[in-house]
Amino acid sequence: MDMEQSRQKRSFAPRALPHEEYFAPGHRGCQGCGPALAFRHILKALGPNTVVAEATGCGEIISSPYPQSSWRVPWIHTAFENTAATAAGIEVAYKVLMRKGRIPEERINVVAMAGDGGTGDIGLQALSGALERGHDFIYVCYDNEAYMNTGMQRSGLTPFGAFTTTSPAGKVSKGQSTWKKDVPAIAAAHHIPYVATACISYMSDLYRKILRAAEARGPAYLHVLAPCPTGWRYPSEKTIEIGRMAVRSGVFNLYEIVDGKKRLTVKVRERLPVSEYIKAQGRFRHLTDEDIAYIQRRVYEEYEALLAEAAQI
Amino acid sequence: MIEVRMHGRGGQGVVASAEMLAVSAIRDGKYAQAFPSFGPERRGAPVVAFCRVDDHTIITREPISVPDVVVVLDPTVLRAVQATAGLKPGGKLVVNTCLRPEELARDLGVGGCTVATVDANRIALQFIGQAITNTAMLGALLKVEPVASLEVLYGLLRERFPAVADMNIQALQAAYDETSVAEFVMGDIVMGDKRKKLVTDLPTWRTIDHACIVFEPGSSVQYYTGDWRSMRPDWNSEKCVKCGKCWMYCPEAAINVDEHRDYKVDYDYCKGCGICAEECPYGVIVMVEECE
Ligand SMILES: Cc1ncc(C[n+]2csc(CCOP(=O)(O)OP(=O)(O)O)c2C)c(N)n1
Ligand code: SF4
Ligand code: SF4
Ligand code: SF4
Ligand SMILES: [Mg+2]
Repeated sequence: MDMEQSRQKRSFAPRALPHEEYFAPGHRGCQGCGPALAFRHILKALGPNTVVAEATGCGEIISSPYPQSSWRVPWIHTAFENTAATAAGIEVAYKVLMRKGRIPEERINVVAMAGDGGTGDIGLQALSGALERGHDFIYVCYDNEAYMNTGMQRSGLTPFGAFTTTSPAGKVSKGQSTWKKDVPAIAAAHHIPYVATACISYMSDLYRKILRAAEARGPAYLHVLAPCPTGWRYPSEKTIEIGRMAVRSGVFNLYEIVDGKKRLTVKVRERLPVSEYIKAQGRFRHLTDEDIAYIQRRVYEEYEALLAEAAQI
Repeated sequence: MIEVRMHGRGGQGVVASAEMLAVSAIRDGKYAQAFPSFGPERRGAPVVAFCRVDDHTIITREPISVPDVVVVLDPTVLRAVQATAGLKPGGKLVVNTCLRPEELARDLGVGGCTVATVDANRIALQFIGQAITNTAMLGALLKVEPVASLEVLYGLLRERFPAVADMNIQALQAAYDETSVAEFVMGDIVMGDKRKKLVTDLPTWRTIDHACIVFEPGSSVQYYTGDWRSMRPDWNSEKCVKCGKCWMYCPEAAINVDEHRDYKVDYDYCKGCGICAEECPYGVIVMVEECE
């Protein structure tokens, strides 16, 4: 068992989490949708004093089929390219209204939300601009590792080797040919107060990070791995287990960067072979032992480098 | 003009069969169109497709709200949507079910229309080896409403799906032969369960609010995703230690806690993903087949 997990076991009680639901049932996500679970808990942690701007993508489409909405907090649809800009506008508007005494002074969580495609590819410049300007907001990237809403096209955050409709597996192409884009590192390069990675399978870690992100004065960037049974090709009941395997194999590492200082929040004692994670998902089915060995090597190197970096600080 | 509305579930080939019907009609020298009703719903959700056939050019592009024929590919969607909504008096209702037309008409309480039934699941399993009923249901439809000729449709199937055409043609022919038809002169066509809205009941561009504002927070609770379920979580409450893991991990927020801190599934919303059963550390929850 991981160190963090055993600590979680002792101090973390699921039943003690807030019981109010701000992400209502009746949403149209697939059975076992990881992103839907992420939204549910992000809102639970933040509470009702929250405003969300969300880009197009599964998250938006499943939660806002007009004339219905799953959101019990103010929520606005934004175009693919400008989620962070919309949130920045909301943040500034509240600030001005409070300064002019038009609304009472209070802490309002302004949240921008987008998928991996909407964050790491299409919305990247708006994100960079908003981080640079120092708006007091939380940017949440829910990462399901492809453009899922439009039927599974590759994004810059699709992992190496994964099959998508635009990184097919066949004679010429072996699935995704590039390594996963390190968007949290890009966010951190803006020297913002808080950057963290999280995963829906590590709920206490996720809650703590959402709260820290909300406390941070200035931009906070939260990158949440949210497995997708439809796109990753695994049975819907395995969503939590797949997320756990991603972390335990070192494929996705959970850390936070507070004022530039990086710290691993979940240290994995016995690392799971990457092959176990890969073999549990249809999107990697075509990979050979050699391909998997390559991924294993690279994952290992990255994890060691992360450990060294975290230890140095 | 003949207007056909088809009901099924995402992944069952509802859209494809409406389109094949239209193409066959066009090859027969008629005018035809077919299109689905696009929604954001995902796998397992009820879907609707439309097909119009006429001897003249068809101008309208609207969804069909007053159909001549309603085809139901999956008997479980009858619980989920008002399949008979708007069916014309004297119209035709064609359903995949093991019930006889009289039994189905009695169950649904319908009259004033023709009811045709066929056990397409059994036929599909026999000839195709899987419960894919879209081709069989085309056979049932053509029996009550010959909007296209069988030969042309067979030709289209051979052209599009050479590898599996033969078994699909056998299924289609068997369904055509076995479909039982009965006419019910007396009574009214009932609308069925009203809690579900069809696309055709939704506001139109004339009636929607500016900027499509939704004023009711969390109004998606009006939509019952429990209809998507094929497996159901069953609780053995005696073994439960009330840890709350199932509740925490449910992506639908479909597990509620009552005043005794007992965890209970809300079957109106549970989609049957199986996560709660998988994550419960004490084996309290088992997934069982959702029987009709
Ligand atoms: C500028 C623009 N390009 C393309 C689209 C079509 N589109 C809508 S959602 C989507 C995929 C979104 O992917 P991601 O951000 O990863 O979210 P996911 O659907 O995976 O949750 C695409 C390509 C669009 N709406 N706007
Ligand atoms: S495709 Fe994936 S992310 Fe999108 S709704 Fe389905 S499970 Fe959720
Ligand atoms: S089966 Fe899935 S949707 Fe149903 S209660 Fe369990 S976790 Fe929730
Ligand atoms: S996870 Fe199992 S033991 Fe825990 S509350 Fe749910 S049913 Fe009870
Ligand atoms: Mg995505």
